[in-house]
Amino acid sequence: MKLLKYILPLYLIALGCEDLNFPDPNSPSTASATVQSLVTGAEAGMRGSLSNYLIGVSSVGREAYHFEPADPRYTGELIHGPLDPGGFVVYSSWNSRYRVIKNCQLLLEKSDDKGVEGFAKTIEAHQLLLALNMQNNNGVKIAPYNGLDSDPASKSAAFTEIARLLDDASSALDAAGASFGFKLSSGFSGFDTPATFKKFNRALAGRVAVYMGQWDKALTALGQSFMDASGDMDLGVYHVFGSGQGDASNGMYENPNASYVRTMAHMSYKTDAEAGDPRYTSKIVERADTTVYDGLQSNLAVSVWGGAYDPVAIVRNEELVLLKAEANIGKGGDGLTEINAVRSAHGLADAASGGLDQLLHEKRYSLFMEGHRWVDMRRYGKTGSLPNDRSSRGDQVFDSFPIPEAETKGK
Amino acid sequence: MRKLALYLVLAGMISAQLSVNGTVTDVEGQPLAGVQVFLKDTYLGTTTNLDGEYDISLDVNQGILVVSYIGYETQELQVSANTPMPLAIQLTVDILKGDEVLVTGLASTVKRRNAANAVASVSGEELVGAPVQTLDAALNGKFAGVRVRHNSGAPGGGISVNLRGVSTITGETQPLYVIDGVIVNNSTNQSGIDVVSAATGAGSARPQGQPANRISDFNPNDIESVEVLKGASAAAIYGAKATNGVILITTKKGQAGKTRVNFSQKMGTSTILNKVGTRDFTYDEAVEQFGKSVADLGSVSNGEYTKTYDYEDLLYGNNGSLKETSLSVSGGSEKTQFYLSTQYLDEESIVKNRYYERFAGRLNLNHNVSEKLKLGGTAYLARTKSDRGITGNDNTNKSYNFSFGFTPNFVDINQREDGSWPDHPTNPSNPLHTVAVLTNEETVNRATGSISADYTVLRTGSSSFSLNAVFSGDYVGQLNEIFSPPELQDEKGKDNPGQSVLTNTHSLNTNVNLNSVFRTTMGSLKSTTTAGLSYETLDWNYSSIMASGMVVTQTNIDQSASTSTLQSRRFQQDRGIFAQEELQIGDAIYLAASVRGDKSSTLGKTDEYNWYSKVAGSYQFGSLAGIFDNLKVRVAYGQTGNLPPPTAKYTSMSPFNIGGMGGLVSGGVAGYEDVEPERTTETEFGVDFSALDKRLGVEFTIYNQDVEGLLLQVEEAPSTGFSTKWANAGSMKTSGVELGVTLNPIRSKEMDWLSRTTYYSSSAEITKLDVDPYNTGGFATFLGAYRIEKGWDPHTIVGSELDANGNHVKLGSESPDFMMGFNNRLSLGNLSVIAHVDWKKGGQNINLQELIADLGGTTYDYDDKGLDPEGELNNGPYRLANLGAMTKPYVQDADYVRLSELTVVYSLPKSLVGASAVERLQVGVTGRNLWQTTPYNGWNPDVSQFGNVGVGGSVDTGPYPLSKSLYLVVNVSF
Repeated sequence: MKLLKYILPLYLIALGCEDLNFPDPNSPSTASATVQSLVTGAEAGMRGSLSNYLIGVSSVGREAYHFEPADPRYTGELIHGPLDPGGFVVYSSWNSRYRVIKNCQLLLEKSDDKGVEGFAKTIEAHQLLLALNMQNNNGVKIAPYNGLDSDPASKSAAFTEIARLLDDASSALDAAGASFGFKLSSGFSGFDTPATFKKFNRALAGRVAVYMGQWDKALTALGQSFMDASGDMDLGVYHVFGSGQGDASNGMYENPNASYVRTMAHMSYKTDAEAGDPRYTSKIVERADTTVYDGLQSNLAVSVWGGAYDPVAIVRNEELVLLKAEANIGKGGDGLTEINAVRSAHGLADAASGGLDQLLHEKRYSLFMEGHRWVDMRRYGKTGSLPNDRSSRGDQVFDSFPIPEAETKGK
Repeated sequence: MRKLALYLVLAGMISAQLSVNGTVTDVEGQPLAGVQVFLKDTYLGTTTNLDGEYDISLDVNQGILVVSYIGYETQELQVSANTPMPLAIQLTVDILKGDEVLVTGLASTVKRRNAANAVASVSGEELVGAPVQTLDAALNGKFAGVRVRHNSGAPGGGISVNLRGVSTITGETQPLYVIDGVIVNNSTNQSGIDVVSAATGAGSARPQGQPANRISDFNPNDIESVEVLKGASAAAIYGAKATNGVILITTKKGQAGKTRVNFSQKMGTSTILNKVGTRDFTYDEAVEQFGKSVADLGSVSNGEYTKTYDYEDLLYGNNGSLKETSLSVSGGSEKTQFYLSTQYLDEESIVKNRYYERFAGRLNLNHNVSEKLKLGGTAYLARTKSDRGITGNDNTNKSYNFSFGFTPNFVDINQREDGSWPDHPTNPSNPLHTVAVLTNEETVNRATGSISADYTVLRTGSSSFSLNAVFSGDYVGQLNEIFSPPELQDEKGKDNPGQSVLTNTHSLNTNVNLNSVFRTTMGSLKSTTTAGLSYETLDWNYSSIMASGMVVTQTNIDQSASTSTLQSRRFQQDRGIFAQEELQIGDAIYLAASVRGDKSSTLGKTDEYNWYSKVAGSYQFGSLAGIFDNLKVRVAYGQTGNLPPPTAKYTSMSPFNIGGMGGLVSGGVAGYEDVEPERTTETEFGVDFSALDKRLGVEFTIYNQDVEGLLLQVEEAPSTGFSTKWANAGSMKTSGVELGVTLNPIRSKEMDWLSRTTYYSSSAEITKLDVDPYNTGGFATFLGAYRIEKGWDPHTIVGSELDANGNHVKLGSESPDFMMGFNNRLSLGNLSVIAHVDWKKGGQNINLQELIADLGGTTYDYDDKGLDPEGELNNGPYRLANLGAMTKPYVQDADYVRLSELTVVYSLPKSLVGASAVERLQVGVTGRNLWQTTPYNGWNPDVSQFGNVGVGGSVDTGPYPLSKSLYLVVNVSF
């Protein structure tokens, strides 16, 4: 009785007053995310692990080495191997791509708007393409994204899916009216209405068709894109960066004159350059000192980007013109018209002849560090001709990154 | 300073008047004040006054008088009208601690001789015999089954305390600290140094800043005693937060009578404990390693360098001066007692400009309003400041240790005569410059206070019922200011050189505990019934502003080109109800049972109680077969829980902005909306005995813990948009053995030698795993990781090595085979010597600092042979050549034997002190970690790069080195 008399009132006071169940004080739930916040998040998220992706494919493709004294994996795993399916070299970019794809899926769930569909499917296709660029022969996971319950789709099935997404998006954009119901960043400046965004969509479709060897389809798509052989080679869609709250900086940028530079171009980029090629001189700063690390060396600092907030191309005109050349070569032509258009834009004399090797040379110097070299060489079975500087140590050039360990548990 | 407790056994039943009086003294005849003298099994009695005198009148004509005093053996004396008065009573020191009163419940106590668990305890005097910076560090080696691990040797702590092995993979690993009945905040708050070192991003779920646990804010000198409830069977009454055990701390209280003053001054110096060394180059080797341009930087003669620098000494060779001043005043009247203390600690470190400083004060006040109502209050205020520098993992090569690994000893990076700092030729930053100008300061303001009330509702000769209420608040305000000046070599090269990080953490815990205790005696049966409830809240608010592009000479975050921010909040609400019954049957049998229900806002189901129960018993055989003075067997069973992190139940989006627009992306972690607590069920069995006229005491315990509902952050296929998900997805078994042996081989007035040896070992095994086995911890599998797989110890280290079937090969374990502590106290008249040795046997670390040095080409054994079975490659090239294929060379034994404490104290005889008011004057020399032997070539074999993690801490990326320290001590008491 006494116990009840004294304890019970206090008990009621102490335990009755506050609800123990409250929402996350730090972050919104998926239910409360709006279309605009998911569109912006997708755009922002496309930059996630971007430097990781570019350093990865550029190192394997021997465009550059990343001399990171704090981490041996950039010169060990990427150049020598084995590629660790559980390591960040393999999974970082993959994870970031699928986080963006998750946004695209949420957008499609939340909205029936054609503009949203056009945006979401185009971005989804682009992100899948980047993943496929790395994982290549090992394939990638495609919709439905149900994790361990599904195996990776084969490379060809993945290409088919990417092309389908781009075509679906294109149709949706045709029905999306004059403007989007959401805003895009300045990276899409000039490509921010359904009609102009479609030009971006077709540019990606052109790239995908070339990768698939569908030359006619590629030429059709490129014709519907913003490709302009006499236009500004830098016209295009970009990842933009900023110093604002929650924004990101360009992780690829390093001051080429800093006392120590991590990402250094492969020495063959200098030896293979044409004398006076402004694409070489504008993208490389030759340093007085040579960096020696882990048995590798270079004195070529990368200066593709001029500052920590410089944009990184998603797709730009120069690539499209060269893709057209490639499609023409694929059809039996020499692609020389487009090759010379690009050379002329850089003030270079016309090339004597076209053809595949000339095209690959132009792509190497036009699109340096933009993630193309390794993919291009691979598509023509030429990775064996990329240099191995430590062949005595057994360095090798990989064709494919493995599927991340977390995608294949228990399989 | 010890308190008294007292019992008396009523034997006679004839009502009469018996007057008992006399003096209680110790064996040397010194009067003992505050000894309680009671008639057995009654509340009839008194306490001795300052002169040790007692005087009671009892309504009996004979009976048994029970005289007890903490730290002394309890005596029972038959008294009757025929007993000559005054009755002198002499108490002897309780070496084996059988009469020690242990806190077993939230409001009840039991004597050690009856306790059903192995409850470890030490007095404050034993705890801080040698000066110690922080409270958690002071626990080192004092208890069997308690591992105190220096995650980092940085000033101000960073210590992990682990009781009876691991009981969680992802959850909270630190014990619950309860000071004077109040749970105190022992959180770790990240400084933001991870941002500057780029070890991880801001707000990472796996931070590497190795912050200090906030228990370090408390002044160890205030401790009267510490008890450790190691396992679930002892700690069940603390329910959902007690899986890692409970550390109960009682602070000193005032005693009625003369005002006592204790003053202590300590002065010392610290130096690095263990150096790792570096490679000596020939000119040709330098050319091969760094190229000719670097090799030519040194002075060469005949192919050898003529001038080299000891950069390890230049970085870690500072002789830090150590100072501690402490003062306490205690006393009071019969109605009101007080304890007042203050401490000023100022310790430099083995790295220049790094330090730890504490200014603390405590007031404990007790007031007896009446016989029935007692009030108490405690207040503790502390301000600590430290600079912990930049050590450990680093992705910018800025930390001292990374830079050291990339510094060949023939280059000169010392400050030039004109005051300028040269650029480092082989590393992105000059570590000596970094030591000089990069600051990482932490300021903590801590305010903890409680108010308690005890009300005795009724008291009869055989029963009492009382209520007890405690209200408390515990505030931590932490400010971290990190400044990496723009003139540093690696900053200069950036677009936005210079970084300033300002991090604020505000944390408030409140506790309300309400207890009721009913005690009754029926013949030889004594019953104690306790019931109550607790109510706890946490409001934690963390914000960090990271500025870069600092305007020259400015440190304020607004004087910058760019800022980014982070805020994180945590609200937690916990409610508990409990009841406990304890029975004492005669002297031989003790039984206890309890049940506790807990609710928490961190769980999926917030409206249901989770129940934790306990049953325990002990039986004392008394003296047996002429061999044992006493033999006890005990068995205990109990359950506790471990709450999930507050974020585990939420699936949330993360902000990611672009072009000034706010965006959201998948947070990458899938929450588990039905998340449950981890539940530990422990069975403990033990035998304790004393023999040889109490010169030998042995405590032996074996235990088994089953942890169910292991909360795992399981890898999710990232193509779902999540890279991990929370799940209660496994079970684990932990078992172990603890042995404590106390020997008192020499016991005389002139000489007393007391030796305590502790041994413990524990092993863990995953018994159930609902997900596929996975690697966790570390940086990547090929750099060493920990394997979570059914049937495996979760501490197992794996790496690149696979067997013929493609399965991971076990490369080692971070769990030691066993640990031992050897504590010896020798008193020779006025001289006393205390030595404490710790021995860790077995257990491996992943020594990535060696890899760092290999990559820098500067490892001490780079040019030695021995590792390559073919005998071709030198050690450095061998390790590097196999990187990616072999992790084993970096998985290294981390055994050690360490002289943790050595103290020599001389108490000046009264004759020398003179007739002044000085009661005691001691001078002494004392040292910590004076000597260590280890096969491990690292700065700290105890290292945990990832702080207080349950699994995966033993990754060595160059922690702040452990130091040895030597002090001169003067203690004066008035």
